[in-house]
Amino acid sequence: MSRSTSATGGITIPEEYQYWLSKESLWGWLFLLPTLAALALISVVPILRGIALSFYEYGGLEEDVFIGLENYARVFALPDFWVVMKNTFVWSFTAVVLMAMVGLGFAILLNRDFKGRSIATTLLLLPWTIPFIAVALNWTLLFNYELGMFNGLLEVFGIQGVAWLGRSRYALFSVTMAYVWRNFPFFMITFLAAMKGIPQDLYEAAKVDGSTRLDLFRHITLPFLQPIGIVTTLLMSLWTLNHFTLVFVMTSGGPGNSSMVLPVYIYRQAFIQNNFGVAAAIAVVMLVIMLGYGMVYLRLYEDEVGGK
Amino acid sequence: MASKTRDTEELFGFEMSPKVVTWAKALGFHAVLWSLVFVVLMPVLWMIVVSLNQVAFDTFIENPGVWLDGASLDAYRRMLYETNFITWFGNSVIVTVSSTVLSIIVCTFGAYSIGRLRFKGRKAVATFLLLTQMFPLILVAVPLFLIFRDIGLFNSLIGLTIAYVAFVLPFSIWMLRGFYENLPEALEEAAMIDGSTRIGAVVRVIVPLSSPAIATTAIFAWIFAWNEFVMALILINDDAKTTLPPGLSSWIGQYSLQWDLLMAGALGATLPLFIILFFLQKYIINGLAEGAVKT
Amino acid sequence: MSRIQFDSVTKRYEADILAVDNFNLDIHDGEFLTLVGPSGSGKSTLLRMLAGLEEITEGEIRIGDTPVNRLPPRKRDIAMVFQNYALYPHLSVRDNMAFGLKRSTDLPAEEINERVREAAELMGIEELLDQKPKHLSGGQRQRVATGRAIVRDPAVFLFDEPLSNLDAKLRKHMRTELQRLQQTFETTTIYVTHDQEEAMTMSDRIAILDTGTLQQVGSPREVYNRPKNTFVAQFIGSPSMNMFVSKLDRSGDRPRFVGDIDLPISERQAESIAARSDADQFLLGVRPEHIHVHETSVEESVRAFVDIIEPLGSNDLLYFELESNIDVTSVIGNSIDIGEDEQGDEEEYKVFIEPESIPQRYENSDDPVYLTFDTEYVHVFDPETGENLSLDQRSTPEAQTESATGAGD
Repeated sequence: MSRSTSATGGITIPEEYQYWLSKESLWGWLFLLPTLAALALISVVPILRGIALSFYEYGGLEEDVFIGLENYARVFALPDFWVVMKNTFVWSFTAVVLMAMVGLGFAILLNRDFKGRSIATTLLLLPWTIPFIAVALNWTLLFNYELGMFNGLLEVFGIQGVAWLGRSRYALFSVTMAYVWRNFPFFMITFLAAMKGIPQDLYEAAKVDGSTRLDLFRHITLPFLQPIGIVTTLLMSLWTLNHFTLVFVMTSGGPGNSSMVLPVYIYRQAFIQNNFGVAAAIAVVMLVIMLGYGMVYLRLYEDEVGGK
Repeated sequence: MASKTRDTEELFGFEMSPKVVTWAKALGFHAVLWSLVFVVLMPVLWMIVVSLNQVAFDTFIENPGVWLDGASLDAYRRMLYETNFITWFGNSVIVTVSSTVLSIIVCTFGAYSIGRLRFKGRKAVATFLLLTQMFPLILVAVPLFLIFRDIGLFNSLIGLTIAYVAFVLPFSIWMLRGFYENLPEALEEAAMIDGSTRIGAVVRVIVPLSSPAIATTAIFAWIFAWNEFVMALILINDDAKTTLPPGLSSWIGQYSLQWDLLMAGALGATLPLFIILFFLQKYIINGLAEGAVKT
Repeated sequence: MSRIQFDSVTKRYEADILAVDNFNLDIHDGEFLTLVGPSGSGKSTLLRMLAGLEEITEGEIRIGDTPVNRLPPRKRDIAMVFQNYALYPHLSVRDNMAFGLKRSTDLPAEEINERVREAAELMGIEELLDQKPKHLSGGQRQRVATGRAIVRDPAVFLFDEPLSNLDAKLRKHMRTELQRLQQTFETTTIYVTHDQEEAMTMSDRIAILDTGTLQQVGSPREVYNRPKNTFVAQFIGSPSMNMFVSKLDRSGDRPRFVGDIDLPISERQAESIAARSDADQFLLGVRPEHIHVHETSVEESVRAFVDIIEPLGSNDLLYFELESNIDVTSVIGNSIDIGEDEQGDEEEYKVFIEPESIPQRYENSDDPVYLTFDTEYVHVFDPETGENLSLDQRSTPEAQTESATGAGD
């Protein structure tokens, strides 16, 4: 055993430092350093800057002027703001519920042994790999008044087509459809994985006890899916609240503000109308909502998954 | 899983031999499944159809021959030679590849730290990472624009890459951490007793063992970067420096009636991810499953 | 020289969870020492501190006179076999075994290869060298893990419950094999287990731990025959020692114990017990092989009723109840541990009998049997401290070692 020093790659490290090098706390922070640095630059500093900005009148090239809560007062006085809030919640809620339902349906279909199962899974996963920008272009065409598939199908049944993206009644719903189509596979795969994790002997025991297929589903499958279902739903809700691309490309929030959601609204306030202060204030409101939502998520996560 | 519930085999009121019933049930199942798969894939198929020859849906249904006669790769030719598509595609590749590689390196060590090492503050870091996932991207993007403008990272692919790395880190670390937690700790202890340093143990034992999980993480980083829209829109000003998503979105106004070109562009943007799906599907599915169970 | 010294070693987790409390032990060069104790006794913590996997809160550990507190694991010249073997799944058996030599030595590749081959031969795993661990059976993995340790020829072998994942038969076989290996190499070995039988059969000395404190160190025979306290008495030996509650009565012409069981003792013993403890009642510990069962009443016998007779092969195990007995837990002090035996049924009395020497009809019947005790093997424990009060009075401890054979089976 070498007592005093050891040579590591030609560099001699005194014993005293070798001891420190074996400490887990040192490695812990060392390994985290790049992560924390990146997050500080890209998340923490901007968030703080954003919160600060919400209390200032953005001066562009001039000095910013502190105006206290004025920006927030402006935000809550904007008639658009409440419409956008409502749209955001309607869109998130509808999208998540539909995705969960469609995803669960396909997971049930795929959760059995049959020839071609792996091909079917791959094909059903495919929408999830399409970039949002391509989805946006694709579905803009599908919803097109003259050339689109939906109006084409309606016409086959003799129904007059609709300007899906051009009418305030349908615009948000149309975007939701595109979003659900793109993202339901996420739910499908997570549910499928959860189903695979259910011990088969539970089903066998229940069958021996005389359960019907419906009983098996209600009393074994569903309870087992619940924790993962809740976690996935909450996570997906956060992502949906944040989603920008489809709305921005397909409708830009229009017509009017009928399909406007918070992220696009903030973008417009900042970069089209140059209201950085107001944009920051809205973003802070959104942050508060998402953090509140996140707390619920964490709480449920710990309850359901028993996270550490 | 076809279950026999009754002794007398009956289907829709007809008496049948058990074999026929099994066969009929399987047929019914496959019919339902594959027609649903077809419905789901319709939009993609339509994208391909239109990119080859722009037609209205009803025309195509009534007389596919007309479409076939006019089908050509002309839209793809125009996309490649008459637009900025190749530049954007290249930019997207640069940003995606570099942010994926960087995030894997950073997140391997970060996840190891909070997944495996015991030290004060790691719980706080883990919670903080989870918290950053709740920061709205747009809330970060607005001030980030001002910051990047001040420090000269605005309108640069390097700035965009750094932003992407930081954005996928929390999710990647969270996912990989779950995997690390399940590896037996005795493995790197054995390596350290056998003469490895801490980094040696991570590189020689932990990284090779976690390669499937790292692959999944990489795919997620790749998909994120390839998809990302807002950051690129805000942080890049120059048409020659932008990536595919904001680039293609500008076509909507510019080539609004050239649907064949738009669809060709959409397909071109999709191609790299299709390729990934077909080669690495296993990792995506396992990763989503892992992520769901552990996230 | 690779003796190992634990000098006032203490391990505290977080604020105040005391895992190991002021542990002192010298392990001789070439000795096979077993750390045994129930889960949570601190035995694994001690081993991991020695390996450098846990920090030492207080005290010092020396390997071959070098303090190792501040040395990283790789500098301690040790090899360890883990409970789950910790074979690197992505490496072949050959690379697993060569891993340590490549990291810790500058040996040329041929030399490493040669040593791996030799070690594999010794362990009988040569034909497995190119396999991946996942293709091996539990026993083969165990051999690879052991081979990986011996190939490095370290100063110290550490075993952390290495056999607990094997089935009973294989476990017995591997015991002898590990022992044989250790005798060949004469390498200082520390072996952690919760299985007292394993400890008894393999070790030169056994260190018995409970709740972070060292209870007793000694040869297997010593800890079996001369347990220092109730914990050691109950933990070592299977089935465990019977515990009866009796009062010391010195009013008659001869002192005797009265209570669960009645026993005469010598005046000298009574004197010394009374001198060492002022307790009112005592725990009398008797191993199942030191009780004799009779069908008819004999002198100084105690009436008992048979519960069940379990045939074990070479002898039978008879479970009995007394007419009346005092609950042991009601007399013992709060701080002492009488160490429940593996089945957790410490309130059952057991005795070994010759097969079929007592007819089956006694099971659950009202007909009593009569018990006599080998008084010289009765241990008297202080119920407050758990201390064995009869130890110093045992005149010929060596003579008793003859009867220690029942311990293993």
